[in-house]
Amino acid sequence: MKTAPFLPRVVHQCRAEWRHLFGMALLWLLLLAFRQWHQVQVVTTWNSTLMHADLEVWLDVALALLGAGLMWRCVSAESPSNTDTFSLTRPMGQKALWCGKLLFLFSALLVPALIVMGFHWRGFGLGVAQILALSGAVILAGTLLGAGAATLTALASSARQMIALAVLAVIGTGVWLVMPVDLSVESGNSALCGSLVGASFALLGLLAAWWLATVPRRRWNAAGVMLTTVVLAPFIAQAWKTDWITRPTLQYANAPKLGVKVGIADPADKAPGRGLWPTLRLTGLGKDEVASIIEFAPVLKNASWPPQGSFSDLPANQNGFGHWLHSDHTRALFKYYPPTALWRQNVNNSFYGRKTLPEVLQALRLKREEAIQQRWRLRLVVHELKRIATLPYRQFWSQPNSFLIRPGVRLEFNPYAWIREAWEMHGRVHRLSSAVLPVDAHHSAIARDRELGDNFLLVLEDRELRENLAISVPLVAREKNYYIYRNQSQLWQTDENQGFEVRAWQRAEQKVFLQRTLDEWIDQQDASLWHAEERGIVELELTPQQMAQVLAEPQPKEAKKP
Amino acid sequence: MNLVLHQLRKELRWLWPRWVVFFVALIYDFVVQMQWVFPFLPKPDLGLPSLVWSLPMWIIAWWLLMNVPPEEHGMAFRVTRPLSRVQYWLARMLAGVVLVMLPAMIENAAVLLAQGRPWMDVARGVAETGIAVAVMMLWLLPAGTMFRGWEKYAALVLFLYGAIDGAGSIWMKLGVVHRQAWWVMANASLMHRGAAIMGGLMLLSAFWHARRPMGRLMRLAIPLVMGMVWVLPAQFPNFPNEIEQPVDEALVKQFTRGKEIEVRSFETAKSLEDDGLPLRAEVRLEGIPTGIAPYWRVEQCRIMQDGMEVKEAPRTRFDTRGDASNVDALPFQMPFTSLLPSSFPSDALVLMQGRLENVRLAMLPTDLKPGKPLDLDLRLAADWLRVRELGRMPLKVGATIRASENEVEVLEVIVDADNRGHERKGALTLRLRERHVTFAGRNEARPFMPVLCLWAADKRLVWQQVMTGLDQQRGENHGWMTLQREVTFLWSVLSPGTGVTKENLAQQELVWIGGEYLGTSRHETKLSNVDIGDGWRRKDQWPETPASLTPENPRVAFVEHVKSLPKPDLKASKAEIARYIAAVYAAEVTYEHRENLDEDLKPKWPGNDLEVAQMLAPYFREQPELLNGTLRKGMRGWYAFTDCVAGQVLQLAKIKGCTPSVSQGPHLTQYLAVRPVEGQTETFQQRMADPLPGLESREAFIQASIEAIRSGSDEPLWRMSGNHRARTDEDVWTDFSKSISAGNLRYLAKKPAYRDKSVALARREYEHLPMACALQQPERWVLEAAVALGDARALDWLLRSVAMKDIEHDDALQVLESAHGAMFDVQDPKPEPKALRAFQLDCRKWSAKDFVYDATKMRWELKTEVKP
Repeated sequence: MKTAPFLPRVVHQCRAEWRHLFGMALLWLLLLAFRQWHQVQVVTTWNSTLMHADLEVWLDVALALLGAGLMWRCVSAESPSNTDTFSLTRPMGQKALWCGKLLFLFSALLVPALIVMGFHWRGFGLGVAQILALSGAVILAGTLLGAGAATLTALASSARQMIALAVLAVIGTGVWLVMPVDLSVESGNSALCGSLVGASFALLGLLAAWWLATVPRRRWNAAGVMLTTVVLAPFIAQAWKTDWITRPTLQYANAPKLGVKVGIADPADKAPGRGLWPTLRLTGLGKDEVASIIEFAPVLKNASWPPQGSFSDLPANQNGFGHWLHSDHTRALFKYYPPTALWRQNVNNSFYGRKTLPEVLQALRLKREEAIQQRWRLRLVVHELKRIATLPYRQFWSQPNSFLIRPGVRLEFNPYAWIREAWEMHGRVHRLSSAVLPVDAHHSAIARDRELGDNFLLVLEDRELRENLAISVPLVAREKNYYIYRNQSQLWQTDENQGFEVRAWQRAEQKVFLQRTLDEWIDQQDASLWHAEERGIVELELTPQQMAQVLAEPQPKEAKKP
Repeated sequence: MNLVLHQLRKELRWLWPRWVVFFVALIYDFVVQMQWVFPFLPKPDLGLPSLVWSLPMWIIAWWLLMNVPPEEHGMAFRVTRPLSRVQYWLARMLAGVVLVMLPAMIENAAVLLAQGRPWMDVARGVAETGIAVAVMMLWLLPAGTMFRGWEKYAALVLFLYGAIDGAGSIWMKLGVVHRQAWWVMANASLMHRGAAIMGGLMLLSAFWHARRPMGRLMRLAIPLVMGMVWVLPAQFPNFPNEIEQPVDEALVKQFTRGKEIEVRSFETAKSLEDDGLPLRAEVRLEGIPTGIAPYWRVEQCRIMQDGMEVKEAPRTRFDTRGDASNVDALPFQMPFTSLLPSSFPSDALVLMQGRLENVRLAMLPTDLKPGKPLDLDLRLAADWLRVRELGRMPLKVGATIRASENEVEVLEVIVDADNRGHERKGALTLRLRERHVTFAGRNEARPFMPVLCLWAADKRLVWQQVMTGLDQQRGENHGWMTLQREVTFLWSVLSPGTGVTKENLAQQELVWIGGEYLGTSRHETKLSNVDIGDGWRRKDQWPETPASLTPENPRVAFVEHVKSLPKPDLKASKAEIARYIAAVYAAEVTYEHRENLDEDLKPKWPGNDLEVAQMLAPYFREQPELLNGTLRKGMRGWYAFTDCVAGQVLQLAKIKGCTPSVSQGPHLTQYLAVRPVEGQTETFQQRMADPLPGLESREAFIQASIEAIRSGSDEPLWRMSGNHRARTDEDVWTDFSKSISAGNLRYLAKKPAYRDKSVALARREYEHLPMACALQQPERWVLEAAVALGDARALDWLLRSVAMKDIEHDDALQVLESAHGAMFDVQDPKPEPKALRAFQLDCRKWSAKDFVYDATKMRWELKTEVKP
């Protein structure tokens, strides 16, 4: 009698599993789809019933239970450790059985997950490499968890043993969690790389253990391999130091062209430069480029730089917000609007305007005479303001809007809604990419331990009255302390929503003098979105002679005439 | 009995492998409670409620108690066994006792003993854990018969969802006032009672299921509903529980019985965040014993205006912590020093951040008719707190206070940073480890959490308001809670005027104040003709612009911008003129920082708006009714600008008597007319230069101006002030009785008919002042009146208050000027801003001993030897 070929047996087993577990597989697909839909709904609606129901954790728990249940039922149906099972006498062969189950688990668990998540990955401008990396992460995570559950099930000959092994696995995970882990920002990416390497190792080990338990039916060897894998994987992950994720910070490419002019500007000078202060100006900046001072302080001998009291346009974030744009960015937009337009702005509320030079000296506890003896260093970060879109403001009121900023980053707006006694527009910067394959070419600049991430200006332009309002989109800080910043990142996948809300009020003058209604006001406005795109960091040194001109001597007060 | 034991053995045989899991969970809970794993971190990222740490252990306990052998699910097996139903359930209960209750009790005892707690506390902890498990068994044992296999896990997940998330969102959606879910879970007494109700229902369901087996869907719906039933009743604010039981209701009855409450000082204030217009007032009750304070709240408020009932603005917040917990808010509402005369001297001042809030009586709708008085039918409740000092310690690392039921230790003293890790000059942050008794029947952390105050004896200042950081908790459900957190005093500690420096920190003291909820009293009152004044501010304000876009002189930029606007023809349509005026006013708001003051309190950008006003005036003259638009704004500078503009319009219209102001500068206008008034010649002078007292009078002025411009006559202006006559003494007294001031007091004190009663009123109001450093109007004026009366304690109070006034605050100049006037009564010439700044610096050095009081002139004079 001739044995059926291997592949048809594998397919046959897979089909048998599908017939057996079709209901659970369908439920898995539906639950996955619902969870994905729910994730999108929760962030695109605010204050909705769905949001109050707070289902997120529970959906994750339900998915985990369902996934584990599916694995368990699939493997335990023909548990290799249970000699009573029918599988040992079936003309199937353990190898084909194992492969058939693997094929089933891939098609029933991972393929639906890939399909559902694939829908979610659309619209982010991601390339093939990113899609492959994201898919790989899903397959790795799914197979790892699946292989773990399958190995446990294969090792257990009864439900009771299965529970005992599961508990041991949970305890082991708990012990692993308790082990001290360096969670600093610097170690974050190398730990992520380590976790990928560790997980890949664990995947191979667990699959091998499952194979050993199923095909040659060597339970003790399988248990040994599984234990070795579980013990070694965390160590490999922690020992891994190579970080391929962290990108270098960007250096300003036009640095050689950048220069400073010091002293009071000569009215005859046709290129006086962009003023940081009236006596300190920058030349060579691009048309739409804006320089922000990260640090400005003297270089003191035998002391680290920057010293305490150093001046910065980008002070530490006090209020849990991640927006840092300031008046210079708004001013850079003036040239795109009528010159007589009346400008107002709502920018970062920890920025109260640039300090005057005497105030800078005061913060450094320096007198002018001391200050002009020193070399000073100026660390700048340059951003270029780029227009993303200009739309009628009505479009923001009535429909959701989404703008692709660059591959992996999207700016999303909900329509305005009457929430908490005000018109509010909620939205988010949505980042989606592989966490282990960087999508950006460089790392954002850091000022005072704060990452200067993507920032945006929303400019409302009243066409008729020529009144403009620049709103720095008030993104919440990405620090983990603030719960409104919703971080949905999962294993090796970045899926983050950095939220914000913009409130709108019609101007009182238009209401009381012009009797203009809210609708008329909305229809009269155009809204433009501007993105501050980083161009890089640059450092400039100022000699004592230059500083003597920057810190010009105060004019003596005229004596009162008798 | 043998059969019971037989069944028990069977249960144990079935359950022991699962019990091993529970035992491991119990050990895990013990080591977590002891902080042998997951110890408190210096800078935590997350603060989890204590219960969360024990939740895994309890979930496993529930799973264990729900487990029954598969053969016992079917009725056939059970009814054919030679075992009565009573014996079966007795055996199952015994199994629960042996496997869960006893180990959990032992674990609780171990935690308390390891912490060195007294045996009485250990006994109580053990008993409460026993009760908790007994209550759980009430619903878990019957539940075991309803769920088999995977259904148990689904039931547990659904149950947890119902309890944790399902309940709160229902109340929120229904708009019903309810306790916050986390507050319910922190209250063991509430949880026990809620579980008992749910247990009864679960028992009934199990009986029903035994008689008429339910389908799977129905059975799985039950744990979801039961989870909600566990928490829902407990979320009702009035659901009884041990922790919120009044301690001495009889005492409350004794000192409140037959006493009338006084509701006074009504005010309406509004911010953009409010959903309506809050109506606030001060509520007083005389004869409250020392050490006791009320938290006033409104239970019912019926508002009538013009004979019509006014409906309150609908509330948007429905979550609460229950009535008794209101007392926990008192440290933010009133100074505690006067409640504890044995702990603090009588002149100790508390540095309270922000305004001391009066009782919010109602949230009025924003479309209420302005200017019309209200009739109020009020039912108020007072939740009473009795405070006591728990102990005191020096402000240094390692200092400890140990009371019988509370402990606190200072782990770190952090200067110039808040508990979020942000640099803040002058801030003081303490990292504390606290321990409190938290049994279900005896809780010293709820409803009132002890308050740690900072006491600076040198300047007799107290800090009692703190911003708390993330709480790291353990053991709340074991009877003694351990808590680690960082607290930052809201008011800067190391700021000028406080006398506290980095060098003398250890000389300051920390005083720990505990409290207990005595009970609640209820009071009714009717108030008629309540004048809500002119606190009307509309919602259509534009959010403030924090930074200037024009680095140059904003006054010049304002003029330049107005000049750049295309000017309509004077005969253009009203809409076109309105557009121009709106554009000018928009610019006015944009450049409002032209009115900013420098650090010497002098105008940073000297000048005025005369040039712009002259550009606008012709258009208002053409369309005077557009002046009505100027009334609809409450932002800084708007009124001053309108005063300037309206005056120019009146001058341009050549209204008789309207000329450039002599006293206030030529940009403002004075109206001066002399007319005979009822048999006598009265000279009346109306200066448009002064800010008018309120919206109503401003409305009258604008209406009169519009009529005057239209008619070209000053008759409407005269008519507006037609009732004006020289203020009689009675008028002054009426004003004084409504709003006490040092100036009017000095005037009335010279009038024999009014002297005694005005002095008595001022003294009475002074006695009621909260001992807070930064008083707002009208309390600040009462303090100034007391200073004018020669009260040295009041003078000391005022000096410290001025010394610590934030000079960057909008009202700084006004406060300094007013205080200066109260002390020295210098009217002409008024002190210059620079002199006032120097006055503030002097106040940091002076005390009442440096002054002598001149009773004749009712003012203070600096002793000669103190004068520089």
